[in-house]
Amino acid sequence: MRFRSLRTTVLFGLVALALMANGKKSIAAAQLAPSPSPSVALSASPTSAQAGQQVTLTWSSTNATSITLEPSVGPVAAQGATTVRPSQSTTYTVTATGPGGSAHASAQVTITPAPSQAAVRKPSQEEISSDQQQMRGLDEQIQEIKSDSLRMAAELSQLEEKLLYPSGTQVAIFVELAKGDTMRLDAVRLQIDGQLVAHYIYSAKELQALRKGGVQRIYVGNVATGEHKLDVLVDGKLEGGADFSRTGQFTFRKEVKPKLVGLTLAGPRSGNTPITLGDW
Amino acid sequence: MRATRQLIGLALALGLVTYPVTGGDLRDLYFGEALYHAYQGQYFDALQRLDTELAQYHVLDEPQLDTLHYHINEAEFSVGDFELDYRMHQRAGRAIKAVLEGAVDDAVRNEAAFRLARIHFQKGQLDDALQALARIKGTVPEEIKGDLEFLRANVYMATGQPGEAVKLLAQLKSDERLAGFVAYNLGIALLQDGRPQEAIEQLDKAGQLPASDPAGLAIRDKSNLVLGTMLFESGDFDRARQSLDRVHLEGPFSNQALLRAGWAEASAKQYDRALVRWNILVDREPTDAAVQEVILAVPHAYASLNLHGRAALLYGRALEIFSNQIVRVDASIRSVREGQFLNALIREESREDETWVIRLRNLPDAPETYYLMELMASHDFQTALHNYLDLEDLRSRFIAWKTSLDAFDDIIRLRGQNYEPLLPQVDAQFRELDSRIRLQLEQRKHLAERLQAMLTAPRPDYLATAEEQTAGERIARIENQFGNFNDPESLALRRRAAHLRGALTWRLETEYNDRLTAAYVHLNELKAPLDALNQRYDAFVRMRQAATHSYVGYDVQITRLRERLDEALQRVDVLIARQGHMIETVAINQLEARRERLTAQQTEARFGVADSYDRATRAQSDAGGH
Repeated sequence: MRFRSLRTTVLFGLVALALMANGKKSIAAAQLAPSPSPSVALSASPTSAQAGQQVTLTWSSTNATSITLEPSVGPVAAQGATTVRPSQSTTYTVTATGPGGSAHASAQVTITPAPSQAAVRKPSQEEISSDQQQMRGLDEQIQEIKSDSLRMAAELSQLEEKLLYPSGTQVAIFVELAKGDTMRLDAVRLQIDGQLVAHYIYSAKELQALRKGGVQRIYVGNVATGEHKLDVLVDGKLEGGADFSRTGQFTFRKEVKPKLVGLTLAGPRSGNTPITLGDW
Repeated sequence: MRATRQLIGLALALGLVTYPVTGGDLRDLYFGEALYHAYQGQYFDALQRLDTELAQYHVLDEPQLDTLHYHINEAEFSVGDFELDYRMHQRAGRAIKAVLEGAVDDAVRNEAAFRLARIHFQKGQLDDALQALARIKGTVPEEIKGDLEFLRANVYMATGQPGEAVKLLAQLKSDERLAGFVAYNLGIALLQDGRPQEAIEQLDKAGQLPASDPAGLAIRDKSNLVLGTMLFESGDFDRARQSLDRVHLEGPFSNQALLRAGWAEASAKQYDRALVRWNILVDREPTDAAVQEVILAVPHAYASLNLHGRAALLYGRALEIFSNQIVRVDASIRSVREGQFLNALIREESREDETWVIRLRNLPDAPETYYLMELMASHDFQTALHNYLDLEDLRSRFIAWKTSLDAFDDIIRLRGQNYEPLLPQVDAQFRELDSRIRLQLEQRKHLAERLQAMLTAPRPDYLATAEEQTAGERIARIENQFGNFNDPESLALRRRAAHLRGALTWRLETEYNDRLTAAYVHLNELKAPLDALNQRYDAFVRMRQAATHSYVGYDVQITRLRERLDEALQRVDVLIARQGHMIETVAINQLEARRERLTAQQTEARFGVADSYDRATRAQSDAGGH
């Protein structure tokens, strides 16, 4: 569309030059005859546009010595085209004046609302709705596979528990931060009966989850029934950036049922016990 | 009006924030673990944990003794939240319905109804949302009152009852978090209710509310942008410019606001003032649509000021920019087609923070994501994108699970190899131990019964020592031997035997009570070793069972799981391919639309160059002529 209007403009330019060359002859001839009345024509393309969008005005005239295109353009050649970018609906008027009088022609450009990002960039409505339909169709299938996956995950975790951590020997250790504690927990190290069982280094995301009240299952393993020694080492940073370390020694008793051990950690400045062991 | 309508569309969802789970002290570690995963966006793990916990809770005989009991409503609500977050809309709400149907007090039931309504609203099920809202009666928890009324108003707006929404929003005293959204939505509701003048005044207020957080700032900017657009469309350029100027210069709406504020000035023929705004915008990211619009608007303004030489230069620059951008868009389309976009999306490190979409551009061969920003910000595309990532995540899980099943098979095989040769011998020993233990238990039981009987029917002879028993037997023998003889010797012996019998009986009778007590003490002393033996016996039985359970009875389950996994893996592969293709298609459509616009702009710029040179030359020759 735009190429076509450019080509038209170039064509009009050439035609205008030819007419101007012819015009000289006519003026010489006209000296002998009464001056003919001028005539003029104006067209706009497109006739309706969005505010700020380019509109091409094309005009041609005969028997005119001066041509004015208003508003905002001013004096123009006898034939030609120009572009305008009206921000509101405008009636353009071309006035051709010659020895034989003057003539007018008008063209109206109607402005639809200002261009929005979406209006100029989004794919067509049909494309959108077919894309959306496709998205939704797939979405349902995805939800189904998610449901199936959750069911499989539940069965697998049961199987894993039975095979690897039977209840008779299972021990699970959990870590939480004391309510409202703001210490920066870096790492937790756990030993059961002198054996290192977990050494966990926390990411910012995990620390944030702990601060919000989440509880981390840091270790699941197996121990025999009876008393066991648990050594806990906590590394972290204070608000000022200084490092700190805390250790705690505890004993827990494993019975025949699964054993849950909860460790509540608190920063040195909170006034709470740094490491508390709770039984569930 | 179209621009305004498009802007409004986004605002409804913005106000609906999902609540963090709150509550008292945590009493259930596994619920805490589900939250730990959810807080990190690991909704699959959170759901898996919580589903398991809730399933176990619901089959308990005495659930009130379980630690989850303290959090049960919160847990049911959280399942709904996690399902929504994991984009499982079909399932979301089932757990909440369970709370709603249960015997709970007003406050809990009303919160459940509110959450259910919110889920239905987000799923676009407006009638269901209204039904859920209609169930709210009696006490409403203080902390959800504002959100509830806000949701109700949103539902009214979505169901074409803006008048009702206006009534609610006008008297809603919300907290600071919601204030901007309430003010904005009230403006939109007024507009939808056919009260444009009141809408303008309301949006004007909304556009001047204090805001400190990014969400509050964004909704304030949005109010100003919508208001500015409405005023511009109604020809009130001066007020349009004022409200557009209030849009924060660094915010997400600033480019649009600058573009429109410039048009407001230009429409009032204040081209130099329009240029102030546009010259800020023109140096911004050249892939932004508003920036691309302004690249053409600036030379247009110069031309309108009759500065055709400058306009020609700037049209020339615009032409160059558009040509470069077309090359970039073409490269992006190519890169999407080659699969680089999806490759970049699934790279773990590219998703570490919220700006990951922008940082995709820095990855080798990744497409120009700025061109996809608006698309990527749209709700449907976000869902599609996250679903794609979820599918990739499921695929990795399936592969890991298959490996686990292989490992389980190995464990089972090795355990079988280890236990099977040992167990017959162990079982034989166990049987022997078992019979010995049973014998001892039987003996102890017999003794206990005898002692019990001796309390009511004393039998001193039962408590005779071995020596006394031997002595008694010898006396009896003597008595038998000499019983029928009457010679003096025999008589003397019988007397002595009777004397001894008397002594023995005396001893047994007089010491009977002490002996019975001692026997009880001894019997009780037997209890400790027997208990220890029993414990060892039980432990052995458990271990023996555990040994069997550690490798027997899994075959069918593992085979079935493996089949399901294989089938799921095939399904997920197909879904990944389809979802990926769809995302690529949507992205390419978007890029092609942008390319089309760029081509049009390139043509306009080319024409602008020619036209401006023409005018500049003419102006120059006119000036020379004069």
